[in-house]
Amino acid sequence: MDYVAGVDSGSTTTKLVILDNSRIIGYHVIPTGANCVRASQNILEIGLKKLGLDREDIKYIVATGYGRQKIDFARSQITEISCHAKGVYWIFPHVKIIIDIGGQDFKVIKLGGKGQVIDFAMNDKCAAGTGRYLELMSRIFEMELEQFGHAAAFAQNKIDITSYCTVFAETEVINHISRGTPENDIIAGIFHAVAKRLYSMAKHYIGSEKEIAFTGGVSKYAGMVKALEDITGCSVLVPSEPQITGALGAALFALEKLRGNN
Amino acid sequence: MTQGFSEMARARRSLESVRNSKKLLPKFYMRGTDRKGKKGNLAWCMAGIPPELLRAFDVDWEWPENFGTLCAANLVAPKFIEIAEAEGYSGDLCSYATNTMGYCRRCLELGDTPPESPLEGGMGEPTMLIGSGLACDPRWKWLQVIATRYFNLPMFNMDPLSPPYDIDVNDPRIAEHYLTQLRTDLKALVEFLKKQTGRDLDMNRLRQIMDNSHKAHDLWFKTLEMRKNRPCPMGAEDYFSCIIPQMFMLGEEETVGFFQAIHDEVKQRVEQGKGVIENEKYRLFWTGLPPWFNLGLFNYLESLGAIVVAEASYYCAPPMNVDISDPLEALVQRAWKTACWHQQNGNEIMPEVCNPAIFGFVGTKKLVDWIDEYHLTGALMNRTSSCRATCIGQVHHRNVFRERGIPSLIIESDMADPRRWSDAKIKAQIEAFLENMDRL
Repeated sequence: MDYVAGVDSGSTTTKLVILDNSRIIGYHVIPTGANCVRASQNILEIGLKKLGLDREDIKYIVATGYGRQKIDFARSQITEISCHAKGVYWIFPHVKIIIDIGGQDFKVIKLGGKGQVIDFAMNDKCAAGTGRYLELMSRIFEMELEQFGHAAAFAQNKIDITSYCTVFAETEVINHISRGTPENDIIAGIFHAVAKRLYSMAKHYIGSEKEIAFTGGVSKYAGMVKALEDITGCSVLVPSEPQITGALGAALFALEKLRGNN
Repeated sequence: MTQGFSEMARARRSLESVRNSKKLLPKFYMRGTDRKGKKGNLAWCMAGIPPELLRAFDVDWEWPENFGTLCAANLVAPKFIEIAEAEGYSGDLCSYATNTMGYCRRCLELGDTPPESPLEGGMGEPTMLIGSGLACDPRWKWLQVIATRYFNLPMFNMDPLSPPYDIDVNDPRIAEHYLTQLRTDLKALVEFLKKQTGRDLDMNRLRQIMDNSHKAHDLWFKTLEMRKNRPCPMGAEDYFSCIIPQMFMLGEEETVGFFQAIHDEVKQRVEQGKGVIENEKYRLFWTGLPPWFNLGLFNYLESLGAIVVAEASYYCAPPMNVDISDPLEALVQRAWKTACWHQQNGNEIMPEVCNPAIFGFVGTKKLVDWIDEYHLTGALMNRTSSCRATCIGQVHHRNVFRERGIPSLIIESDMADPRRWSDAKIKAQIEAFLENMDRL
């Protein structure tokens, strides 16, 4: 059997996808913690054990994500931009725009007709609008992430969050709470603010496209999906497992490389 | 000095002649220690002031913005910038300017002992300030701050000339307007220097200096033209290391020798078919100021098979044919002709191009020619948070590239402040950019 794997070593979570030819036979997501090397080793062990495979059964591994260079058991490293593009193209071959929001970054990727990356943009230094930002906001409301993600659906009005900085936005949110603004309206405002910020970077790439693929951990928040749809006017498609598209792309690259080598 | 900025790397220069710059330009590198204990005129100046004129008056000089690049390269700029921020200056101001202000504050605190800096002996005690509005407004405001807040000094400021992008510079009425302005400004600068130095301008000396200056310019331009060759014989790590003599040392004998050595080495490389890197996969165009604190970025690019073959910043236009029999008029004519060259090559990228020194920023029309001439495959643009003047044109450059199917990447950092550099993010973007150039 030609098993291959992709490991996505992200800032918050580490993801693994194992393929048997082009079929996903296993995937996992675990927290990265303080040591991305250990996390990637752990996730591989977990994945192999679950499938009853040995390390030697995996013929090719590609690593991606911020920790990719440190994963020494991978035979090659490919950036997350390329891997996300590859993974999303495999799931939604007709979609040309990807928005990915991870733990500490967000990116917009424009694809060509064959799934090749034509252009991309990433947030540079500021983490406002990323997974960490939303995590912090959910803590203010003492809500689990899922509850937080759904709360916006019950908003009557959404308020404006204007501060760019995560910490100042937190202050702004606390001010709204103290004024008695309904929680759901504030949460809807938070998602709206993130969507607006994203759109200012993505608008140029979206052009006349009607659909967007939305990936990364943040795409699990229903409120965020709704806000993106409202702001962009596009249909927002979320894969059933939106966190693993980078690892999936890495595994698909691994498959290509294995076939190329053979 | 590099503590706390472990991700930064200094450039490994490829050309031996550039590596030897300290030997080839001793006057420049030893100036701080040479003037120790000497009493004399010392001008702190801005780029755009013709260094030839200062040399003709025997005025020693320092260029605070160049000092900013030096502090940045040695990772001491944050120390001075933080002092300026503590004085109340915004962190969004030009980091060259805040570097200078922090340095001035330290000068006042320390008295006779110069603040510890990469320039041995420091920038000295200025006796006059000569500003220029070339390129951006902070240039003259920052000297004004020094003149009024830190030292009480006489100051002269040259106006920028900004021929709009859509005028006909061949219209004699328009030309006369700008030529008159240039002549008036230069004449006033000469008067200012006469007053400060108590001496007259020696025209013969200025003529000789202008002759040297044009020889150096000619050599530098020819050298840059040779970078069109494949493989490219000279990268950005060498280019940016030569900016100091190009901008500030024109007219010196030793500068001619410096550029001659570089020219000869590059020529030899071309003849031998030798490039900076063996397997040249990507030929990039660079826009924006470089991250002086991390010029090792260019070596990193080279390790990925990418070489920067041309830069928009500090580009010296082709040498202008001017008669130096009247050297002051030659300065005027050179400035005007250079400005016209930039204006006719798309100066919408940066309006204030007209200056009596020989550098500018490559316009969009020239870029169209360069895509083929330099065999460009992509562009890398540094959006410097604290320098809006050199970033505003990047979108024009990017559009030109996009229309011609050339990919480009904008990274965000700064020119002097390493606190604005995010190594993992920037490298992830660069690697993704190069990876996908392969697949386009």
